[in-house]
Amino acid sequence: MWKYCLKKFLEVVAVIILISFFSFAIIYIAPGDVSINYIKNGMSVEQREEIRRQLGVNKSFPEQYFAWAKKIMRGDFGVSYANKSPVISQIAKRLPATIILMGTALALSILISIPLGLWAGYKKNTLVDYIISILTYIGKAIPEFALGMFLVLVFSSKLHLLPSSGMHTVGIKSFSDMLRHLILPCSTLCLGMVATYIRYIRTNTIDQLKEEYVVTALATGNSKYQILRNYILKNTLLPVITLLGMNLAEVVTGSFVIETVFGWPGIGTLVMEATKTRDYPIIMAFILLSGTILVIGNNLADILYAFIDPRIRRESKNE
Amino acid sequence: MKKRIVASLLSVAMIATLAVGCAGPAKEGKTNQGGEEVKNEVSKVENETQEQNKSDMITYPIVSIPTKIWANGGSISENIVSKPAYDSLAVPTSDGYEYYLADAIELKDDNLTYSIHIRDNANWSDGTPITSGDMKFTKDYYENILGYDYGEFNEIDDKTFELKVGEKPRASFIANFLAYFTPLPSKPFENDYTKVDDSDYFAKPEMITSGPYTVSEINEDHIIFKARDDYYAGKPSVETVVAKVIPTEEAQQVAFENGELSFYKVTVNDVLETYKNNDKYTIYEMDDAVLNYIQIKKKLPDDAREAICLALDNKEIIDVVFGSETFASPANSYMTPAHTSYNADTKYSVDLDRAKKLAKDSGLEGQTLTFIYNIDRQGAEGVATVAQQQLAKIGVTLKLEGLESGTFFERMWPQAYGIENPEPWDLGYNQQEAMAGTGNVFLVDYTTPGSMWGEWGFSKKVVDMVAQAEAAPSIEESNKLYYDVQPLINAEHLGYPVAYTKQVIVSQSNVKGIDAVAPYSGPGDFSKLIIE
Repeated sequence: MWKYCLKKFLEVVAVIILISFFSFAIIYIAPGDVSINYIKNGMSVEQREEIRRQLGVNKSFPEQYFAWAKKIMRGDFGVSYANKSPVISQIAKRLPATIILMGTALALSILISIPLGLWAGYKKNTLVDYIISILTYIGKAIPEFALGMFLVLVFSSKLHLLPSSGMHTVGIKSFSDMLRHLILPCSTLCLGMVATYIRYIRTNTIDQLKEEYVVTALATGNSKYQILRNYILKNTLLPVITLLGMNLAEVVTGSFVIETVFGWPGIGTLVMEATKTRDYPIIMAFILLSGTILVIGNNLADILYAFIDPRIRRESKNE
Repeated sequence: MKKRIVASLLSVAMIATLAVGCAGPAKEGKTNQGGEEVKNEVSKVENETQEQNKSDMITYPIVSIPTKIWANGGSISENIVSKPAYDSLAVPTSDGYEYYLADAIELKDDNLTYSIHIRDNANWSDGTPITSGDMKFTKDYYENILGYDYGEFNEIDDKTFELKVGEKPRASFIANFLAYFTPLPSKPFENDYTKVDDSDYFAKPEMITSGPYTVSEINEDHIIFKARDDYYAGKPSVETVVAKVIPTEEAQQVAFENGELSFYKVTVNDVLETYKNNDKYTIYEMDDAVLNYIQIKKKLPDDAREAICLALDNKEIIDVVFGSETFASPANSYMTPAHTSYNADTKYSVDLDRAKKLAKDSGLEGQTLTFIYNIDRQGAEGVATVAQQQLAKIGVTLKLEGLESGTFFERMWPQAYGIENPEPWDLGYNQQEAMAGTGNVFLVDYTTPGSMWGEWGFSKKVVDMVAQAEAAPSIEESNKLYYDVQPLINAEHLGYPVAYTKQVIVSQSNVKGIDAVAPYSGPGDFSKLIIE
């Protein structure tokens, strides 16, 4: 097992290096460079060149890349071109808001989709299945921003039940106030995620119900409920773990659309602003962060798979 | 074990549900059991705070939290957010000046030197006086860091300074200077202007301000300004002003109709229609002194440029892009109706037959021209598309290039950004925001040889007339020269004025003074806001 984990770790490192290379290369190729923020109108050509030399932008690509990578390894992601504040502190400041939003949405999605997916699969081709399936089609078909605006229109504009935007009411910093603001953006995100998870779980449930061990379990006197809970649930969770691994990055990187629609002050809105103002240090840090977490998430999912599914442990032993 | 896990999850779900349920308004809250009375009491206090906040609080939307809360050299969005906190020296009006930090402006006999007196009781929010030293510090920053040219500065005493604008009078200069020159505090930077850009001073609420409000809190999604007790014009009647981040206009509309915003800017005609004849709201339409225009490169022959101007129809553009003349009116000159020298009689006409003939004779027909526009400007893509359709009628193909702001500015004015070998273009759509008054500083740029913002190549006659208008010894003479030059400028077809845009702001009916604030462009006075 440890050999498997080591192999995964090395894969992660290799992919992260590649991600860092490509994220640096994209910014390197883009027009302009960091010197734009320091060169003033009226400066002579020699003055401009001196600034470029001081910033290191006159060096070759490999030299610039390794200099940048060394700083990243020390945790120094540079300073924002726009406000001269360290990138890492700006991301750290926005991170909790994004984690609250995305983490809650993800957790709720799992909690809701597991029982609904199992139920839909168990009640295949019945009214219950049709209703759940239709809801999932709607959840997948409607774009996030449209769904978000619809919920705002209904619950905020018409019914005046919930606030339309932001994370807090001005002047109030209570947990309950934050929860009220969380409901609409979280619901918007959940609906899309739930739709995806339910489809996977339903399909797997239907497949698992055809397996021989289910027949055996029935024959030994287990009720259908016990079979669903004790046997099928574990097997249907495997693809969910894969999806979770992929969605883990979103917990940190946020949703640009939802955070913009709801004015949620997370990383998504920070990166949107950075994109508009070409604040490259923030963009690069974001690409690296999201890529790294995605890779780690996927590989964690693979490792978790191995723990949960003995077949994978056996395969890796045989290798 | 599994039962415990499920039980724990259910408990968490229940607690979350309870917390949300208890967060509702007290009058709608359901008192479940004895313990809930405390929660309802807390909710009641919160709601009272909310109601109180609403009664002495103005909230307006912004697109994002700016990187700095200051009014100098930043983007338009930064300047809009900073308005409650900073005052300018004075604002020119048709009757003279409306004084703010300054209380006297005198033009000396040489017609070049302005003597400006700062109010004796104009202080920073920490109680220290605003001085000529602060003005000098700010001027040095603007000139050495941002490349502006304000002329010669002379400090007479702590509250009086003189500004000599140059060797010749500059009629449009003083209007812009007084309205937009917002002093920076010199003390936090130890009078060293080179420290300003690298400092995060204006990103923290501890900054000192010159306007009616101080910055109380800077949060991720809103900024809170509090009224100053020691403001020279008296403490504002509205205690708290909040700039809240709501990035999209649709979300702003919902928040406004929900009562979460005091006012917001409307740009869609259909939405505006819903507010008309509704007693709950008040609509303000304000001229902006903003001109949207298309610049036509001089490399195109005279006849070709004339053909383009005759084929373009700004009324149609406005109908399609802005919906109605509520939001924009057809422009006819590079001066706006807010300028005292505006010539309403000079016209652009639409003559498709003549345009086709000129296009054919000049060789323009069948050509493809590059049209650049700023995608971050509202309506820019629409204008480009309509222009493309209109010019197609005379056999001209427009290749549209929408560029984000940074790239657009570098492409439109490469010389200002030190860009060598810039990528060429033929037509460029842009927006100018000029200060109302006599002259138009942008027109000076368009006509001044070697100007940083790119001269357009006007004839010597036009260049000389604009220079004379700027150098005229009196406002009346300057007005006349500017009035007369406008038809000559139009006749050279180096540009096409498209629209004079307006701010249309809708406010809750109990909020007054919006027209004094003019929140979305130019200087404005938040101290005049009132909640009835």
